[in-house]
Amino acid sequence: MNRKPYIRKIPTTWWLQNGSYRAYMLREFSSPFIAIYTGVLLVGVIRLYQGPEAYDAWLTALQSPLSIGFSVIALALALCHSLSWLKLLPQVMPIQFGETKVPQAVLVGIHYAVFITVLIIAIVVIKP
Amino acid sequence: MPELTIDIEVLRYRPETDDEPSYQTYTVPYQDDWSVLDALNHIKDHMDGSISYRWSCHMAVCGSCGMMIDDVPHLSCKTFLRDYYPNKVKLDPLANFPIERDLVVNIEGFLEKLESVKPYLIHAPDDPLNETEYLETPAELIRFKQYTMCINCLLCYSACPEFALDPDFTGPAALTLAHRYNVDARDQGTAERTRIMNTEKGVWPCMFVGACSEVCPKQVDPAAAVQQIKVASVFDWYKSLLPFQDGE
Ligand code: FES
Repeated sequence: MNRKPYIRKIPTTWWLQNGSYRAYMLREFSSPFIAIYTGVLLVGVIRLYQGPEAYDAWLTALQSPLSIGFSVIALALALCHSLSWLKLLPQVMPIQFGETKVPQAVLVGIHYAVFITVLIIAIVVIKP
Repeated sequence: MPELTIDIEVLRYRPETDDEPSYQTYTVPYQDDWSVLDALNHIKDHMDGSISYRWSCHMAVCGSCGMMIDDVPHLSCKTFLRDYYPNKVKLDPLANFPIERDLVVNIEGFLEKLESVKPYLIHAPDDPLNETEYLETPAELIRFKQYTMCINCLLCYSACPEFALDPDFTGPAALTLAHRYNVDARDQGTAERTRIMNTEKGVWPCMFVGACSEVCPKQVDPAAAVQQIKVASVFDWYKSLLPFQDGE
């Protein structure tokens, strides 16, 4: 028998093909922004160590329009990133009691509750 | 009343004459209880006997009728014309696999991967339990039952962008089956399988896109199995750093 398998090409735009690919790409795309923001925070810690003037200069730099713009984008992407992981979490760590599996919605719900509580504590208690 | 019809656009590829595939459209009678497979059978029986596609059970059990329906992997026996009518339905062979002929793909690579993960119970030859029965409690069964539902239809491979980019990636269904045996209390083959799954073609190329679980017609959730193997594999790696290993 004559076999001549045909291999289809993958378009470079494959990641635009459907919603789950796009969501995945957004999650990946958010990573550098989160990394840069972590770097900015790290610089803050170093500036704090260097003394009050250095720290104040860092705080002032954060208030520049460029810095605020970046922070807003980084915040939005960090939210997308974190929430996408909350959604995926029950698949990674299923919990079972005896013969019953804890429903995925319950696991996600608990994590949302913890996430929101920590957020509120961060905003209310750790006010500047 | 004139008979209702629907257009079925099928990717044809005849290796003896064609250099590349091309679409051919068939206009078939529309019946709201017809699956896409019924339409294909109508074409084969009454319009064009040369068309090739796989099927067997017509009840979402054998896993052989998977294809891309309007660019989404589906079982053609479980997908109904009424969900597309009055639009045309576009049929392609399962994505990411070489096309053998028309809607038939070459799945040899998958069969090799499936075999490579040792999807069967492994017991040590000197295990005293070999002489008796291995019991599995309902609680133990629940840990892996969903993974036993896989029918090897390969829709997950067609949805997986990692497999699209790297055909050597072991892939969702084979890894899921490996996990199914790893978490089976009767099995002692985890160490053997871990060696295979920790290679660069094992679990690690998976980027957790999750598309495999979305298209699975049996709610197996292969993405979950693959991530759980990753977690186990990380623990395994940390354990290997400890000075005292199992059995020493
Ligand atoms: S024909 Fe068996 S699964 Fe569709």
